[in-house]
Amino acid sequence: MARATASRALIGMHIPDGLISPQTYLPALALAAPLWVIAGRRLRDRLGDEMLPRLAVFTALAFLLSTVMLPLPGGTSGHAVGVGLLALVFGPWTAFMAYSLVLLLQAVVVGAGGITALPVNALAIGFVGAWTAVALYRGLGLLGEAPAVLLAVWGAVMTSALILALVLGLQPWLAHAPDGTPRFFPFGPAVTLPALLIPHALIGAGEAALTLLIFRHARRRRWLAVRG
Amino acid sequence: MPQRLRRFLSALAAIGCVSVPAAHGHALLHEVLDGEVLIVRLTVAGGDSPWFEPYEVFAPGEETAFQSGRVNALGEVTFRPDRPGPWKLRVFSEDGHGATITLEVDTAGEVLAVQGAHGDAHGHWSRVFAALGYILGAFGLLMIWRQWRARPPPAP
Repeated sequence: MARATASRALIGMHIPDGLISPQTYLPALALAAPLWVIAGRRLRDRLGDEMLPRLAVFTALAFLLSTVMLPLPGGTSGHAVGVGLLALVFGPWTAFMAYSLVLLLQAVVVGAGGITALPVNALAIGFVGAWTAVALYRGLGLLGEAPAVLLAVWGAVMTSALILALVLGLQPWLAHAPDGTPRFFPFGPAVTLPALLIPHALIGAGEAALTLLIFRHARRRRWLAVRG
Repeated sequence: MPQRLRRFLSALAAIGCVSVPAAHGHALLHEVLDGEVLIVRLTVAGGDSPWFEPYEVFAPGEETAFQSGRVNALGEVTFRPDRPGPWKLRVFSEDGHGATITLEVDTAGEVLAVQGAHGDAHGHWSRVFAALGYILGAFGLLMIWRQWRARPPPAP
């Protein structure tokens, strides 16, 4: 029961406000802030008149992907992430910056995710997800383009899900009342790991297939900033 | 009263005071009732619910909570109003996020009106499209700013 409930609570990948403690999101903010500065400077240096409208459209696409709920076995639903596509087309720093904007708008406009959770989500999905996608794509280049893209995107989704599952699973240990009652998210890693990783294994596979289609289009148009 | 009888009664009273709570002081009796309750289902945008978040229910005009607890595994709060008037349901997280919903209850326990928070998720897609517009608009403004900066200086 706890697992099913946690699964329903977690299936949306990014963490909403109220589930993680200040002991988690304040250090995450301290880590994310300088990375945002670096990413912003690199984006400013790279951004050209041709790249800018493409980045706008791809960011909007990533936002849309992270908004459409997909039905999953077990009566739950989930959504794709979209950061792998951004990372493979524009590179990890640009993807991190663009996906942070996606997460900010998700929190402020749509009410999904949260402001306090934004640094955690941005680091886990935007930063680690983007770098994982690029690293796997480069590392698996010998397998050919299609397997490299598929495994890179799937791996990025799973890595982000793993980090968020661990962040959530540590909350009962990080923040609890004197009697041991969790103040924030009440489930440990034994619940959060399967609740996040199993559904996202399916979501990641679907997202990888969609990304491959768009990636091939981007390669034909010579839009890619990342070399395999 | 004879001294012996007084001592006997005192001892009996002392035994009674000690033994009765010892026998039943921790017993929790219960009965199952049939009745009408209000069920409030809570969702946040995107379809999730505030599972296990704390809540408080306030009776009309009361400042002390009538009921408190955590949102259940179905994302619902259930309570039974015992009087008509505006009942307040406050759902909040540890860091203060949340909402207050006011339910106007009549004498029959029926909800006449609901105020506060958002009634449902109908506005979800309008917010999604608004956010898409913000993204494209922000990049559009960035492009205009870049072109403005790159314009050639006026001829002397």
